[in-house]
Amino acid sequence: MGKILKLAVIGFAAIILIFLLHYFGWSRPAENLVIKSLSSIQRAGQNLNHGVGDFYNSWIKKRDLLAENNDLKNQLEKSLVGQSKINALDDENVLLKKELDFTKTSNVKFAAAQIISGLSDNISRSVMINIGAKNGVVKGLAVVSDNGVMIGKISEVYDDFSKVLLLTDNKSKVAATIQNSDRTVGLIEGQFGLSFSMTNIPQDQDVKSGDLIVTSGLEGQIPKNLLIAQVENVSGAQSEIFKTATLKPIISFDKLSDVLVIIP
Amino acid sequence: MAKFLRKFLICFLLAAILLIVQTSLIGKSFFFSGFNFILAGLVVLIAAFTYEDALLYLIFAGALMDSYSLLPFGVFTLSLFFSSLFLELLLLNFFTNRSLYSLLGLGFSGVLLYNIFFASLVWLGYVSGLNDFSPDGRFWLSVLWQVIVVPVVLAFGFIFINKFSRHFKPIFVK
Repeated sequence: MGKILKLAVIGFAAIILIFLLHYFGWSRPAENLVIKSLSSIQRAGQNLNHGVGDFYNSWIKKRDLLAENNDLKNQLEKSLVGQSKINALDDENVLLKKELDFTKTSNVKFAAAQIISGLSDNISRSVMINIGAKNGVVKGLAVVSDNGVMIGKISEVYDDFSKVLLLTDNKSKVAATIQNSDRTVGLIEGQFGLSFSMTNIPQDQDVKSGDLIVTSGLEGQIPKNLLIAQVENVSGAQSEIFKTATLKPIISFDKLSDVLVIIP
Repeated sequence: MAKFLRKFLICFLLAAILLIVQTSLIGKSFFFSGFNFILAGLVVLIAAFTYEDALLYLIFAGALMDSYSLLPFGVFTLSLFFSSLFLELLLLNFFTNRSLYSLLGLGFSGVLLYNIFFASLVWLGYVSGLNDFSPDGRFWLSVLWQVIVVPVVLAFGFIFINKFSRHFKPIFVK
């Protein structure tokens, strides 16, 4: 214990000496020398420290960049979906503008609708639209495409939806007129979901390929002169009383999305 | 004389190396503020070697730290010195064998003593207008962190020294 105290006193004295040397400035050259000699090693240590830090930071940054990359990829996918929606809206806009042009030139009242479900089954040819009784839709009204070509008739009506029987359906029958010199009147009937034809055309009527078929107006709820189809060919022997004209649709029924219901 | 010079040189080198490690190699974040290698070195020297070695070491280490610090010159040296005295007394009267728990106990005591002395001296300097730094909440938080980290460092030091020397073999201090 005595030895410890002795050493402690000597140590304290040495410390006081160092203090005095420092505060009087006499130890400054020694301090400079020591700091200078250690500085290169300290600089190396600092560089190593920074290198490790930079490596760690770059690893973190890489990890964050990868996470950000994944996140951006997800956002890109979402934005592509959004872009497709924008494109769809753009197309719809063009479509609606066309409809607007059509409705402006026409004197009938229209209710715009969208097809919300495609063909229900392989037998019937019907689609569902998103307007119903609440919009003034009743059974038997004509349904036309955006540019005014008839595609079918309302077959069932709900409050907010309606079923449309397409012209190609076997049950579909529409009174029509051929825009020829004779103004031939007949009945358009669906042909097994594939096409439709005009039957019961008297043999003496001049019907040829390319003639346009329009609604005759004989059905109270369907206005006159709505374009339906075009004559593709005419069949029927001369010995028969009537002949049949096979019709070609003006528009593709598979690509319908926006339609108009003509409300008298 | 040669032996003293050799001891002188070794203590100086040890102090310099630990200073470089503490000030340059490890980071400056709060996490690294607990790694007081200078103090750990002092505790190991007190526990495993003689007080004379520890005294030489602390004078060099303290002077170097004071040279690099903006605090009043002598704060680090005096803090180490007073801590060493108390640690030596603890070793002689309480932690009388050179076991791991003695080392850890000395380490724990050393951290507390060192920081108490350091805070007191700094506060005196602050009151005297010699420095602007006064121990605040963050300082005491770092002390708490040191209390955890320094014993861990000492444990590693114990294993290392025990493997390569006989200084920590379980004998009683005379």
